[in-house]
Amino acid sequence: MTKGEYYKIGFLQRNSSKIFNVTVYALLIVLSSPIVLAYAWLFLRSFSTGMAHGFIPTGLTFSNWRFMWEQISGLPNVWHVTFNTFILGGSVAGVVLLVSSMSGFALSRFAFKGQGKLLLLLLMLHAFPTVSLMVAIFYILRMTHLLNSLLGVILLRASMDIPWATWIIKGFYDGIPREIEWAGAIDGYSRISIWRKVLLPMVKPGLIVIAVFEFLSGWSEFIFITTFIFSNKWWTLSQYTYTALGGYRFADYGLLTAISVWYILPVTILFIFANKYMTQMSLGGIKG
Amino acid sequence: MATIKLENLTKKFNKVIAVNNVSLTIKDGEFIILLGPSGCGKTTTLLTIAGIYRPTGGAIYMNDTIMNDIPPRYRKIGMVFQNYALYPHMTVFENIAFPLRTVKDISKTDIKTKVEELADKMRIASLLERKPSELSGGQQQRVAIARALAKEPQILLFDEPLSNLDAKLRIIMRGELKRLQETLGITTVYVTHDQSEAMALADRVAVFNHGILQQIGSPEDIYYSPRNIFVAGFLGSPSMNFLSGTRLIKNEGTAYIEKEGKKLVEVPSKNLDKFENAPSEDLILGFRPEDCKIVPNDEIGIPGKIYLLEHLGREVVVNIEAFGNIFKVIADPESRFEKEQRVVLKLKPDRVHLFDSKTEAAVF
Repeated sequence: MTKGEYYKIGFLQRNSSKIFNVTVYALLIVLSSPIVLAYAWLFLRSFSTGMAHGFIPTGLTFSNWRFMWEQISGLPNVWHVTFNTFILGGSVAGVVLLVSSMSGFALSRFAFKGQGKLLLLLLMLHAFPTVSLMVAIFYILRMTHLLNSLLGVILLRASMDIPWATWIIKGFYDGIPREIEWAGAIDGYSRISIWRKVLLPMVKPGLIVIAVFEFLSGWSEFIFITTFIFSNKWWTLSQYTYTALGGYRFADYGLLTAISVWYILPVTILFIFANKYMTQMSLGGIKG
Repeated sequence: MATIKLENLTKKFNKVIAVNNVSLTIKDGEFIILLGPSGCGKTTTLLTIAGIYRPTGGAIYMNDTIMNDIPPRYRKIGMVFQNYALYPHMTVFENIAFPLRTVKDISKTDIKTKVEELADKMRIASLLERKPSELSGGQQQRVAIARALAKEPQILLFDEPLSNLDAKLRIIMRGELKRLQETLGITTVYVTHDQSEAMALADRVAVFNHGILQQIGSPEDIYYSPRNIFVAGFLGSPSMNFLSGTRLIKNEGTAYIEKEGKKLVEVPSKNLDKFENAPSEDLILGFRPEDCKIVPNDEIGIPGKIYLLEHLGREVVVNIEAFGNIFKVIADPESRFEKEQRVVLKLKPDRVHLFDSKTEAAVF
């Protein structure tokens, strides 16, 4: 290879990655622009009196946000509903974390008959569309007196998500060498305290991912709420927003956008804080 | 301190027998090495002593108390693993303090004093605030040892502790380990596949193969009087040379080992009575690379020709082709040899080993 060729290749190598990056970013920006624009519009509309030509705000107002301090006819108190939503999201996350952190450990560490099949079944369970189970669930809830109760929805949502969460956290446990547990046993700890003091901290990134996703799962839960909750005392923000959108009395887009922004705001904040752990998970678990 | 006794110890995993009927006694303060190739059952034996595995059969005694069903945390042991098994989410300080936190009524200042004392001893005092991922392999090793020593164990267990270190550091740590064990006088069981490590460190070496204890003895015992072909071949580098298809002949009152009509080496008369319980045909002759001389010509010896010369600085390893085998012989680097040169290997009669090819057991 001559010197000239060498530099030419060097130039291409150095710049091809730059060209590649620019192309990728451009493509991603184009692809994601509808979503970004939609959210931007939503946010702007919630603080403006109207939109000229559909996208230019005409004036600043807070009246769209009046649902926060006024009673809107046909809708329950938004603070109460928001509180319910937090309870739902938090409880789903809590229940799923509690169960999956243990079941994932068991599946990772204890060899038992039919383990492989059980793992497959777990994945299959997650693949079932929830809607197909609605009638059966209705009967179960009625039998257990959990109809029209937030607890019922919490347990339902959690049970639907536990297989997925178990699968995820099992992967994290799999990455921990046995010797670490053995060291704990020799250092004087019982099996349960090794799990609590050594293993749980090591799978923390996985637990955080599950906590975030399960909080979201509860936060955005709609079908169980709309089907199994009959009193607006137990409404959550999904039902609240849906009712606001669907109610024929409203053509008030300002109010609707403000409610929507209110609904997505906590989730956005959560993602900003959990971002670090989310990217860690996609890289595949624990760093030594 | 502590003695350990294994009595017919057996460990099976499903149908695989990892440790087969092993009996051995470890004296108080002794440094014993379990040596063998991978999969020979040495690590399983160690983990059974630690209490991580439960024996399938037989018994483990510590200080004459049966320990089979006692969980690891009650065994007063410290252990260092090959991958160090440090807790990645804890600092070095926390790692060393972790075992101490299980001690009843220990105060925070006591823990701190103890950790600092151990860190001083292992020369990692400046690293206490670091996480294991920020340490080099050698430093992690020191932390692991400090952690193992934290609760002042009666027994120290090492599972291939040096094999993740580079060659130079391994030699340094080897010396330090030996020194540490001698100062503390803690009964130590140490697993390795590296025969030179075993020779350098051990009071006694237990050689394992296929889950069976092949031989136990001082490094010298094992090296100079191997009980079978496996032990003979496993220790020493380059390893022992073997020549099969040899037999014993007697000629005018002197006994020789011969092959294809050629007298290879004289048998010392003190070894002759060992043939009472052994065959005199179909024997395997064994000799170490350092136990022979290369001469231009001789009546008695292994005739061959030089195949390859490996210059190692301090010595030269001469590869000699004879009877279709390649024998490795250590020679003085000053000596002048050439490839293809015809030579005779003159063995030291009292250093030669002979094995029964059927049982692979040593005749002498």
